[in-house]
Amino acid sequence: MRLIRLTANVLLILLLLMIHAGDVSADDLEGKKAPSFTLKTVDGERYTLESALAKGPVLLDFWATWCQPCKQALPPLAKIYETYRDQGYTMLAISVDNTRSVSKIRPYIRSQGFTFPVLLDTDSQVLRQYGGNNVPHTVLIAPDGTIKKVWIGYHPGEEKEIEAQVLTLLQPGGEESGQ
Amino acid sequence: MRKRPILAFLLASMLIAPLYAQGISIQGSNEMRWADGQETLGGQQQTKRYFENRLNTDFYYNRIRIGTRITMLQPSEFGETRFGPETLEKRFLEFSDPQNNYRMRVGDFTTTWGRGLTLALLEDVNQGFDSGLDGMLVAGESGPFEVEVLAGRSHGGWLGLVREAQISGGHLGVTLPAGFAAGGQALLVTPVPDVNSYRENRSYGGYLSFDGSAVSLWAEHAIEEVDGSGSDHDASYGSLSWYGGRVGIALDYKRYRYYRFTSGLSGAGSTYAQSVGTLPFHNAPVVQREFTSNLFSKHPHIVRFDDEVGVQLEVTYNPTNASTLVLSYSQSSQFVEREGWVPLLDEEESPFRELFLELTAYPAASWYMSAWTGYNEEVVFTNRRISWTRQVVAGAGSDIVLTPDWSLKSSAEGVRVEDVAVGDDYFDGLVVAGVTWRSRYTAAVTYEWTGQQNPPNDASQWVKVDMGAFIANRHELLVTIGQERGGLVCSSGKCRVVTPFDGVKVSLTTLF
Repeated sequence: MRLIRLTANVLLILLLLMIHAGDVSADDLEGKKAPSFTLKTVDGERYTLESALAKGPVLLDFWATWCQPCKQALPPLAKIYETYRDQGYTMLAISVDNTRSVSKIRPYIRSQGFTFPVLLDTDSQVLRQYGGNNVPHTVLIAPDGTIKKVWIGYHPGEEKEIEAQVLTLLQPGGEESGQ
Repeated sequence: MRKRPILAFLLASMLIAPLYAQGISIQGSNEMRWADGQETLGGQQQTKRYFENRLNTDFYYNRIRIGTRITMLQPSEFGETRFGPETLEKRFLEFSDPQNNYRMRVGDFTTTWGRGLTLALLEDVNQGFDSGLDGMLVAGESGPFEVEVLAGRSHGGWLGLVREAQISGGHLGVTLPAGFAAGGQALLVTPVPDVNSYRENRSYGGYLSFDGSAVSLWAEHAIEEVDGSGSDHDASYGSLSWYGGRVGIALDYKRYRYYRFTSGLSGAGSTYAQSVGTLPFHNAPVVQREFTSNLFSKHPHIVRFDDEVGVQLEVTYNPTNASTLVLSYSQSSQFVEREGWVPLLDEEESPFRELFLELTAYPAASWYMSAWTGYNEEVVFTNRRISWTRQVVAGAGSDIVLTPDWSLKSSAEGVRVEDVAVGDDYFDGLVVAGVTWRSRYTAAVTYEWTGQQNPPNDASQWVKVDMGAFIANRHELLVTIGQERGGLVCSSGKCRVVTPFDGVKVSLTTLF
């Protein structure tokens, strides 16, 4: 009986995956439309993904004040942002701190001198929209609103790959490469 | 009775995708977790096997979003089995209009009002906790006003504990001039006949906040009325933040006396435990640092949401552009009997205090290091008996990018524990060493040992190997082989017992 149930459930999942497979590009997530969202910044202002995409490529970095790898990744990502922000590149640091730690976000960000926008996703709804269950979770989006690349977790040296991908999108014709 | 609509929803979701493939965008993830080995429970070794699979799918069509989560548990890590139509764990239909700032959702959702004193619906898959609602949510903004109304049936918190309730309530917030904002909310919780142990519960709350260029302030208070309870139940929370130059300071305050439905660690001795059984919809800030370091966090202070007053001060200082110093101090105690407003260190108040200092730095672009030290002590006063624990910890870690392809990770820490309850004074240690190749493949060895005279489960050392791979930009594979010590893990005030484990664990996450 247990085997039958297990088999039935596996078949159900496979069926759904087959349905999905028809819509998913053969290689990876590249080219899929990035789900739009509206979140509040730490300063209480509304911020939409579309407003950032209007300027150029966007990096979504999901993080939290209690997450050490996230805080390890922020300084190198901030450097990339400072280097290319004048060319239209935007980094959105989306905090998934919930009520337990939301009061720590602003003192931390301000003391570090980070200038990128910091958004609040206190119930992780946007993180889940982008397939994330844990942080850090990083997504690069081309100016045309399609996903260019996703990074799960943070590994030292990863920022070099992120910078190379950002440069690709900033080059003339780079928008097309995100499709 | 609930299976037919669920099946209909499942079939509709399956059919919609191919029919509208041209106009529908699909996004999702699949997470599989599997383990096979031995766990130690109550001093006895027993077989531990679990298989969990969660398939999350979001369908987007213009302003419409349909979300599903199909969860198969055969069984889960916590022993729950789910199969057949019950595998459709979550489903919702959402319509949103970002231009006009409103959204409506039917089905499963979570939300938070203010800082969660009155309502914070929380889902934490890792902890096996879910107090999300299955019902309807309408939210909108107009000018300075924001409003949210909801009604539904709760999943009831800890999975496996059948305690459902009917929830309804509303929140109104208003943005005031000069950086001020205020809000109020009301919540009604009514028992669902025959399935739960709740009493009717009414909660009301309000907050006032201020955001300035260098100062932020938040003050919130909630009142809880419970049928049949003559006592007062309320909760207060405040935070004051200041930031200037390279310094940021956050000072938090709590005073909680929520009604307690169950006492102590219900479920302790099983694979999971509930900290203190307050309503799962009240998730107020814990006002203490929950994760400090691997060893230090193994003896957490469990927040007594029914009787605790406390403060936390966290100072972040950035001495150079490449280094950060964080100092955290928290102190709490009981207060209900004396009706006090400040945490005391008197033994009769079961005080807890903790100091933790952490330094992180990039000495070079390819070298990240961290060092930490901390001290905490907790007194537990019950039935005129006093017992206490005291811990001192120190540790350091380093991540070095050796070549464009290879990086090296290492850390070591030690903690001295004085535990009067068991009459022991011992030293625990932990060493981790690992490598990463091309930021895609990782391998690490962890060795942990304890100097306890009579360690639980007769084990005094644990060795495990963790391996990870990020494949084809869409699959994350994690494999753990060896022994895990286990312990009590707390997140957002929800604590769960992780049993010692010896075997293999595999998790595979796929994005699509």
